[in-house]
Amino acid sequence: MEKTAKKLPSSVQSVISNNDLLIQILVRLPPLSLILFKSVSKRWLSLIKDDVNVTFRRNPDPPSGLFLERMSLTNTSESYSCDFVPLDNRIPLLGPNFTFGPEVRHKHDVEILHSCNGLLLCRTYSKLYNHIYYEKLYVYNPSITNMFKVLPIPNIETYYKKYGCGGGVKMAFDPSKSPHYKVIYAEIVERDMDDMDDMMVQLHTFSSETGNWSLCGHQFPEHSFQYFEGGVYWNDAIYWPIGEGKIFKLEIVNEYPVLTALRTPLTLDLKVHYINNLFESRGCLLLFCMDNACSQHFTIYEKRNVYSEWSLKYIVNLDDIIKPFPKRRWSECPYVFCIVLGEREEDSFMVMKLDKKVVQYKIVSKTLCTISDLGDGLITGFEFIPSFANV
Amino acid sequence: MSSSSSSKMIELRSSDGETFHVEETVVLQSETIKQMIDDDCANAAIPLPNVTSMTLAKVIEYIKKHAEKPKDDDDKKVAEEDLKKFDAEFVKVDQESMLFDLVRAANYLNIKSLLDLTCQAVADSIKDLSVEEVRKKFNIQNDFTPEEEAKVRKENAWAFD
Repeated sequence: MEKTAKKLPSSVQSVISNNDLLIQILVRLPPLSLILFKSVSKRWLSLIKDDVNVTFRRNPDPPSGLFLERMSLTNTSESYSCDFVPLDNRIPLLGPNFTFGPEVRHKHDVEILHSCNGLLLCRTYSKLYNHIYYEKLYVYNPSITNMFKVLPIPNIETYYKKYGCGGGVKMAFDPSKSPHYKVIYAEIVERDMDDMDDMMVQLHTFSSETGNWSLCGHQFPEHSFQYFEGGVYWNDAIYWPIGEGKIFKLEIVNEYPVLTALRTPLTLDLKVHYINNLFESRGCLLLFCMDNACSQHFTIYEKRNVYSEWSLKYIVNLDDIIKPFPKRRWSECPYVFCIVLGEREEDSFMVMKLDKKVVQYKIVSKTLCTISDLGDGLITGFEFIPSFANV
Repeated sequence: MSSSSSSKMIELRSSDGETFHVEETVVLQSETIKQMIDDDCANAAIPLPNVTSMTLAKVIEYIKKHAEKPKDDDDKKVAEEDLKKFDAEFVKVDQESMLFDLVRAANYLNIKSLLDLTCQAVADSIKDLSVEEVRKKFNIQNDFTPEEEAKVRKENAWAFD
């Protein structure tokens, strides 16, 4: 008896066996489910693969994993290594085997620069006499094997040199607005070799639509771009905190980028928060604040659209879960990799480094679970957002 | 709503022979029935041989609710919220097969918003399943050879092995 297949209600059978209706259901699935469901059967595979409309998504999904990039400093040079941490239990903890781009000899030769709505901006580099030389800059969709595009080398004098601070490369990709992306390269130019205060930044932008780099005429003071590398793309602009309660916003939708400064909300006693970090989730810009480097109290503000003010979203107090630890070394302090707003309020969570572990913290239910162990080191998180986007 | 009392009534007959009287303005949300009325085929009861009385009753509940017109702009916002709540409750059916009956009926009657709503509900019910669970749920035979399946999974950059 148990060998015979269970009887499926005829209505279910007739919907699932009807290609048009099954497609109507498939187009409404998140990309991660679609990627997995290719292996349900040959029919499902062909429906998912053969119809571009099935995989087209306007609104990017929340992240299903995190690339944790560790920077190690040895002598005078630095190197990178990358671990993957799944946030969906259908992705195996040890399984993923990302190809990571063109002629990558081993993954230590790649540096992830930015994760933006499903695409990663990466570059390969090599080391010679303790100097880092950048080689290829490329855009990579980690959901699809070998889906990467090496960008032409911008006409930048300093391209092969690495500065200790400033500069940086970011990308802008919003599938709800356009299938094309832009890459913004902030180049430091020295007007006067002897005067450090006289350094400027000029912007080169690459458009995937034209396949070319172009130089924007206007130059900006170098110090405004100091933390550009930590920027977040949201609503046609890159945002990055610069300290002292200020955030810079670089609008890149037009030919001439516009740089403006925004103020961050103040603490209850009207002081500037010690740490301000930016995240993007579910169409909102999130501002994460801490009042000292090792605090277990976080304040999270959100901006729902470019015209709205910051509004208080969450106050997180980890004291309830873990004992305050007054003598943490700096490297053991909480460090947040991502904040993800849930479809339902109770699904919102953040992933952070805490006492050498990667933990996921559900903000509403105040529950903490360890995802993986993590050693020391300077680690940056990049979201893995399943996507079918072409590069 | 009193204004609609003068509206013409249309008679619908389900596959199991039950008849339903619905206002024409309400029933026009179905492109299929609209076409029949336009073609003047609606003088007698319209037979709907693909829709059972149970399903048809649900469909009518849906189109009646969606035919309500807000009085003014303030009312419009409230009505939108109300409609959202109604939709969310509407797809919470006791029997899962009813949801699929509604997908079929929405498709046959060509009511786009109902098709969107019910297909989204089906998608939501399977989106977190594993491949095995999907096969089990829909009684789908895995027709891949192990090699073929491994190849498909390898196309996902994060292969499983």
